[in-house]
Formats: sequence, structure tokens, C-alpha cells
Amino acid sequence: MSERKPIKIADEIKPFSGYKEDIYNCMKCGACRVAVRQSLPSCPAGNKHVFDSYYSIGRMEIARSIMEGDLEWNENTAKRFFNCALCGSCDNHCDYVNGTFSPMEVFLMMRRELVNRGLGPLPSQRPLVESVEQYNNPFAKKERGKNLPFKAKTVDRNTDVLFYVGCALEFDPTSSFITKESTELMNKAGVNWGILKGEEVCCGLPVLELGYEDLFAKLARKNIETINKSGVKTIVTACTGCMSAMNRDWSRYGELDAEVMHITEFADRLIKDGQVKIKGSYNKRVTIHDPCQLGRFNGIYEEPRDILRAIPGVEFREMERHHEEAYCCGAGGGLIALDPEWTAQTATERLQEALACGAEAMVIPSCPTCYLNFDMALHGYAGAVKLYEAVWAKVPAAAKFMGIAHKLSSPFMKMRKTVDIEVLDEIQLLNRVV
Amino acid sequence: MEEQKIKEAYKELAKIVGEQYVSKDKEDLMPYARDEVSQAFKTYLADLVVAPGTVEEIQEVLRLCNRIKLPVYPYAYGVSISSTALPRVGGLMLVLRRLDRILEINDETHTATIEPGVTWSKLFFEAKKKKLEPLGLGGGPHSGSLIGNFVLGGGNTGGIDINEEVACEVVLPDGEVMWTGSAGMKGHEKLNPWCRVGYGMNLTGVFHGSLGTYGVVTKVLRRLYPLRNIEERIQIGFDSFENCLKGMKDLVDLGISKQVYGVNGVQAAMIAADSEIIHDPVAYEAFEKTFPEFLIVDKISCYNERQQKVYRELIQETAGRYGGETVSYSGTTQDALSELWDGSSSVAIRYLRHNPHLMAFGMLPPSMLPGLREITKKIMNELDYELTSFSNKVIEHPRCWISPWERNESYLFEQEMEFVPEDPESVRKFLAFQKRYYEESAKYGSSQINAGFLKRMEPLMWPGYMKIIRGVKELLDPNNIMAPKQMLKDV
Repeated sequence: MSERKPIKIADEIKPFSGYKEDIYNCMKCGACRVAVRQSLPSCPAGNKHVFDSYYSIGRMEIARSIMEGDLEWNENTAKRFFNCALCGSCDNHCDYVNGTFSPMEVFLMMRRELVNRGLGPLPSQRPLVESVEQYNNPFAKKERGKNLPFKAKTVDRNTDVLFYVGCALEFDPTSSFITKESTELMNKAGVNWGILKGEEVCCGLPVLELGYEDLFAKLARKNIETINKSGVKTIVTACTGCMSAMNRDWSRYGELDAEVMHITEFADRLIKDGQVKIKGSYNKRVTIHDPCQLGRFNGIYEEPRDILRAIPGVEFREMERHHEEAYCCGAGGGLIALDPEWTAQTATERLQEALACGAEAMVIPSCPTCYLNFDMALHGYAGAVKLYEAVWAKVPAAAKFMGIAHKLSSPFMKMRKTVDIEVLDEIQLLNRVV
Repeated sequence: MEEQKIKEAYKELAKIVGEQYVSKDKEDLMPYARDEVSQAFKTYLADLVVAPGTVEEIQEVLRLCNRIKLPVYPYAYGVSISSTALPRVGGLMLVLRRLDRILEINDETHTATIEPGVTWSKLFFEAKKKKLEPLGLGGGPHSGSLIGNFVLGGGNTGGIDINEEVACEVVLPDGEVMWTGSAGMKGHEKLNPWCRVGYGMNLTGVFHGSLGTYGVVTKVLRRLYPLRNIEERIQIGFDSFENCLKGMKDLVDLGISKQVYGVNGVQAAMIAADSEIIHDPVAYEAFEKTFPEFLIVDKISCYNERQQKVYRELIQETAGRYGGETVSYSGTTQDALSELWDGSSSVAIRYLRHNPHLMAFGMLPPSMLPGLREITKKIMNELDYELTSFSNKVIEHPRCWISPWERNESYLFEQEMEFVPEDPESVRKFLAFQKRYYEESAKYGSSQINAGFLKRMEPLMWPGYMKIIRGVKELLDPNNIMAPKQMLKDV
């Protein structure tokens, strides 16, 4: 036990400058741990690791203890701050209860500082960053726009819509079909669209979340410059992460002269404007998973639901945790690179919640990270992940992250299905009925 | 504690619960070192933290702690805002969060059997499916544990928790399991645990408010109440504290309410305000003025509209004698208030949102509460202790809760005394206030629910009273491993 020392924290002490009030404002109410009006937990990291140090309440205490000199920066700090999906659930609860600060901003500050000190990110997250540094994408791919599963023109001043493909949707074999579905829908609606092809670089969100602000800034500036030069006024992307980076984070490094839309927002508009006609039906009980980047960070909840409401035969069911309270699939914040076994377990819990509400199908408003993770969970990949670890150890570092998707999408594994529910991308479902 | 002993304990604990659920990393211990209030005093660092997943594992852990004389501090789900789950002499934090099952919600007996990791929100949510609800009191954090509140001794903010627990299962310090109430007979925990006072004594009460010093409460049978066709929350505004208390007393006497309790206007505003308005002092001041001096709720539970009509008329007539008028709001304000009156809710926890605070309690009959409030004001004036709200204007009296303890014999009165942890002067005044308040409120006649107060109150207690408190501790925990110095100064 130690006597309380007078707290002497100068405002200019880095990296806490600007975060002091946030850190002291944690009331230790524990609202970050529990879904507000439901019976289920809200924090994937705390749910797994149990100790408070993996919940917002504990991480804020760790930050405060470092700030006051009671703890040191070390590898243990890194473990607590990088074992987090950055799903924003604690932020949402904190805002609802306290309305005064954002734990997520503190987490990101801590991650940046851990990177500055050479303590972060964690070893299995580093290949992702190295790949972005080297290739401008996290999949160690040298060229872009070469093997896309759809035909596209390069965007120019006469193009109405830029379809921003995104790294995962181009290179991850499990979720790349979503681009095909998205472009197919736009073609059916007669949208005049194009892509950046080789000019597109990563949106930067994966490295931003891992604490690499400078690298993120470089990518954001490059994207803004390219897109503004193209003259396009509407950007549509089928990746929630890309959409979120464009809407929330790029503005720190430049002004984008275009409106950004997620494909489900765009599709909803196409339906409501009559450009997309629904002819078929889907006669199932359907629920929806709200991806964190789409819902909590950008407030897009109703458009994906409106699409489902527009499809005849769909009997819509909400899961216990939905909208702002939706449980993260577990894959965000760099966790899918850190511990895919855990992320798939988290997704399995979410699938069980979907089953519990009586759904026969769960729809994901296009998100490659959620889709990959749910696909892993659905087919029981989680248990197999460890088998690949030995293989990955021999693979060049930058290829490791890419390896997850490739290895796990093996046809052999596809034969197994551990949760009896259909998981669909929302545009994939829409294409079935238009 | 010596490094070697910690290392050995770690190894043994890992054998019991698995390595994933035990830690001696300072990063894992620091979050348990202080709570909202204790940050004004000291930090208390445990040496280890463990999170068992079964009662059997808890038994093993306590046997180990007894063998190696390792102090152990139970912590239910993990919301402590009153300095009662702090590792005061180091040792082991025993986190019970993994035991989070509702084992049964019984339709016939209207009880729920719950584990320590069951939160208020979880029980409310699950009980509602069976048209039942626990009788919580507004202000209880939805994220808190019912068993944590039981062991704390108060329950939700408010106090009626005392009669809500029918029986409990406890792992005694030596690792033995026992049940209280009618489940005190072996096997009756399954056959008939529903009689609260079994075999003459209320042993459940021994563990209520024991702060973990007598053992680890691992299950509680808690009363639930039916949700009828009409559940209405009638809001009544009063223009003064005295009128509010007189009205409240008569409403309790009516005997038709499920619950009656209330807050002062500044408290209601702070809870009802949305996240935007609290950042705008001018708008907040205007918002604050839309609330009456005191706002209470009378919850009624009716079978039909005829009953509801009669109840409404009776309540309005009774409150009206003291100038009480029914009030309603719109939009998010009414949404927040409705949720607040729903018992344990997420908006209720907003009473914590301005600055950290100490809950300065008083337990007195209603006619004595104005006197206690004046004592508070006098001490604040003498210390030049000012409290503000989001309007940045100084408030005349602290934010408060008032709740009858089931009937009119005693009311719980809670005043929120805030401080700014990073401001040494603010902390100094807060500490000075605390010392004076508890001395003067005790002289005035007020009692306290939290057994942690025995640390300072023991010289004022009847010797026989303390003989029982200490005797039980010595009998059950001769090695003094359970939560040392949590309740008493020396053990």
C-alpha cells in the first residue's frame, strides 16, 4: 500500500498532453464492461481476458498509473493496449453514461506512444505494418487492379461514382466476392462507375489503429490527392473500414472533394430512387450484424435494415445486442492478425446470439473483416488456426497476414460448418432478388 | 509480500484455476488499487489477482490462502465506488466475474438464484422474460453485481436491499461451503431454499454487509416482483425538501406503491441531461431550471385500468396536500427519467458523471433529514467547500437521493460530495468534510449502512455489538485471511 502522493502532472508532459482530463474522468463505474440494456457482455477483450486491465476501466487506470509514475511503459502495457478490437463499445457506453470523454482516443494515444517506444505493435501484428510500408497494402501485393473479379474502367472526370475497392476486398480470397456483388448491383442500376486501379493505396485504417499515425497520414494524403484529381464527386466502397477512414480520419490530412458512401447506403438509395427493382423474395428469418465501423463509428444502422425490409419474404429479427450495443465480431483493431483463433471464437459467440433470436440467416452489411471472421467461425477454422502457426513461422514476414486468409479458405475446411446458420453479405443477398 | 511467497502462491493458484486466470503483473493489479472514492486517499496494491470459474475452485483458493496465510479480497463483478473492495494489506484479489450464471428464475416463488458475476442489467433483462423484476432502487449501476451490493450492505443506491435476499451460499474462509435460511439444512438448497429465516436466526443477515470478511458469497436467492399489466411511474414535483418528505411519508403510508423514492432537482437534471447539453453551461443552466426542487416517483403496479385510476387519484390527492404536482417531460429527458425510475438502469449511473464523489449517507426518519441537510450545509460553508453542476454555478445543497427503507422508520439520504482528484486543494477540503460530516452526523443520530464505517465508529458502539462482530470473525476466520482491515482497523 502507498500513501497518496500529490499529483503533479504538467499539461505539457507527452504523450498525455490533452488526455489528462479524459484519464481522470474515468469514474470506475464499469459501464464499459456491460451492454447497457441487455444481459450479455460488451467487450470482447475483457470477456476473454477477464481481468480489468483488458477493459476500458483498467486500461484507463494503467494510463493514469503511467502518467503518475506508478507504472512503467513496457511489454505488458503493449499487451493490454493491443489486445483490443477498438470496437468502440466502451466509448459508446462511456458517452451514454458520462458524456465527457472517449476511452478510445486514450487507447489510440497509448498505442502511438508504444510504437514510438518500440514496444508496439505486438509481433504478429508487425508484418501487416511492414507490408503497408513496403507495398501500400497489408497483403504484400506488388500490383493493384490486375486480377479483379469484375470489369472496370479507370475513373475520370466523366465518371459519376468512384468504387474504392479496398485492400481486403481486392486481395483476401474469402471476401473479395463482395466487390463482384457490389459492381454487379451498380451495373444493374446503370450507375456510371470506375475505379482507381493501380493508383489506389490502402485507406490507412489498419496502420492508424496500430499506432502508425505518420504512415496513415502519408496514405491519406496520397488517396485524397488521387481522388480529388480524378474529379469524381461520389465515392462508394464496400469496406466499412475504408469508409470510416475516409469519413472520420482523412480530414486531418486534407479535404476530400467528394461524398463518401458505404455500398449499403448507396444500395438503399438506389432502391428508394427506383433504380434498383426488387423482383424476387427471400423467405427466411434474417438478422443483421452491425459492423463497428459502420454502426458505432458512422451511425449507419437504418439503411442496411431498410434494404432487408424492402425484400419480400424476409422476416426480420434483431439480435439481443444491436445498433449501438451490437457485439463486435472481434476482428478489429489488428486482432485478426494477432489472434485469429480468439477472433473466430468471438464471432462464434455472435453467431450463437443470431441463432438465439431465431434467425436462419445473418446478414453483414458489407465488411470484409467481419465476413472473413464470421467465415472462420462458421466453418470451425478457429481450432485449425494453430495448425498453421508452424507454417507461418517459415513464411516471409510480410506474407503472414495474407496467409491467414489463404490457408483458411482451403476447400477442405469449407466442408465443415460448425454453426447452423447462413451468413450472407447484404449486397450478395440483394443481388439474389433484383 | 516477499517475492518468493508470491511466486509460490502464483504457481499454486495456476494449478487451481489455470494460468490464464491468475496474474502477478502490476498492470493487472493496478486497476484494483483504487476506486472512485479511494483515489482521494491511498492506493492499495494487491500482490496477485485470480479469477476462479467455479465454487470448487474458490474453495481450493481459500484453502490455499489459509495454508500460506495469504490475505484474500473478494470482488464480485467489479464496480466499487465506496472503498469497500480494496486490497488494504496486499495479498490476493479474488475476482468472481466468471461466475455469472442466473441458475434459476422461479415462477412460483418469485426468486432468482444468481452468482456474483450477475449484473443488475442481466437480471432485469432475464427476469423480464418471465414477467418479473428485482426491486432495485434508482441509482444502482446496471454494471454492478447484485451480490456485490449485498456484501457491501446497501444494495443499490438506496437501501431496501436488506430484505431482498432470501438465502445465500457462502464459501467460508476454511473452504467449507454452507447455505443460510431454510437451505441451512443439507440438501434443502435444492429442496426448499425459499424460507428466509430458517431455524430461528437470520444467518443471511450475517453476510449482508460483511464486506467479504466472513467468507465468499457465491450464490444468492433474491426476491423478484411481478410485472403486472400496468406498471406506471408517477412523477411528482415538490417545491421544498420538507414538503417532499411529508408527501413521501404519506405516500408510503398509503401502502399502494411498489416503490417510492426521489432526487433533488439538480440530481434529476444531471441524470436526465444528454451527452450534448452537459458541455454547454448556459443551455444546461436553463435545462436545470425545468426541474422542481425535488422530484419523486411513485411506482404502481396494477392489474387493470380501474385499479390504476383509483391509485392515481389517491396518490395525487396525497401528494397534493403538500403542494406536490404530477410532472412529465418529453423526448430524451422523459426517456432518461423513465429509465431511471425503472430501478437499476444505465442512466442512473449518470449520477457519477460530474466529478468523483463520496456518498455522504444518512439513515434517519424523514422528519430528521432536514436537520442533517443543514449540518451538511454548515460544514460546507465553514470549509468553503463549493459544489457546482454542469452549469458551472455553485449549487446550494449537494445532489441527493432520498429513499424510504421499505417503510417510514428510516430513510436513506445520500448526498454527493464531489472532489477533483487532480486538484490537491479540492481533495483537502473533501477529506476535511468527510471527517467532520461523519462525526457530526453520528452525533445528530444518523447511522450508516456500510460496515466499513466500523473502522472509525467502533469506540462509539456497544461493546456487546462489537463482541459479536469480532467473535464471528475470529470463529470463522482465525487466520484472518478474509479481507483484512476492510471492516475493522486491526483485523
